[in-house]
Amino acid sequence: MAEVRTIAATDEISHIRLVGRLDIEGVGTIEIPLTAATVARKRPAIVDMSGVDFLGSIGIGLLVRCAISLQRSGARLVLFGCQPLVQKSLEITKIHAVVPIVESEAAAFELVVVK
Amino acid sequence: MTFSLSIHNTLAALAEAQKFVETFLSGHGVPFEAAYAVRLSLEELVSNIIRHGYDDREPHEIGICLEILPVVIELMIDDDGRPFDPNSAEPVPVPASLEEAPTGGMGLSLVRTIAGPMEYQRLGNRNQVKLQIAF
Repeated sequence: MAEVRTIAATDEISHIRLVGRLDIEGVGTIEIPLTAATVARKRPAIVDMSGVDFLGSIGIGLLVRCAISLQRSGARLVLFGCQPLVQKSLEITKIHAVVPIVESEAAAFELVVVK
Repeated sequence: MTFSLSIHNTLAALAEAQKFVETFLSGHGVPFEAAYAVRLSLEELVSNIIRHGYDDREPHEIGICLEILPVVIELMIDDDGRPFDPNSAEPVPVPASLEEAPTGGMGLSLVRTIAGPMEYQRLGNRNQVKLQIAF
């Protein structure tokens, strides 16, 4: 099972933590709450992936759709803290070429906040 | 140690099967990386069969067999869908922009890279895919 936790939802940023497995079952559970917590807010979003212990292609597709929708609103989505196999999946599917993936929350925050 | 089951062609049945497989693998001390590769292979290959393999909406049987050998896990999946060799799937290209990034069609590339090569044969009216996942 998977879960979306909102760490912060301010005028400046949406800070989300994903937990669990982003497989067919997990994505069925989180698709609407994740879209509401990121895309609907139209704010830059940083997504903590450290609690995600499985990422299937359906989960990657969901993250890409959120990133595309946010970009259309002029905001960016950044992933951070991926576990090694999750990071590898994002690299195999070349998503890292178009969705920023960084190690830490600080690095993610740095990428999305305009100074 | 061998584990086999047969499921209907629904995503709910696949989710249930994943739970049985996970119990089997953890019960035999299979390391995390190998268990991840088995889970990924089942998710991508079986969901592909369920979504794209059939010309009708009738129930079909999909066979799943796992065998834990001394240094590999052998995973075999067979189905009576349309002939399809998963090795024929093209690798995912590098998207030129976020708008062009794929939102689907990535599963077989993931399996090939994380789980390893897939051996395919058509036996009668059934597809059979075999993987050997090292651990």
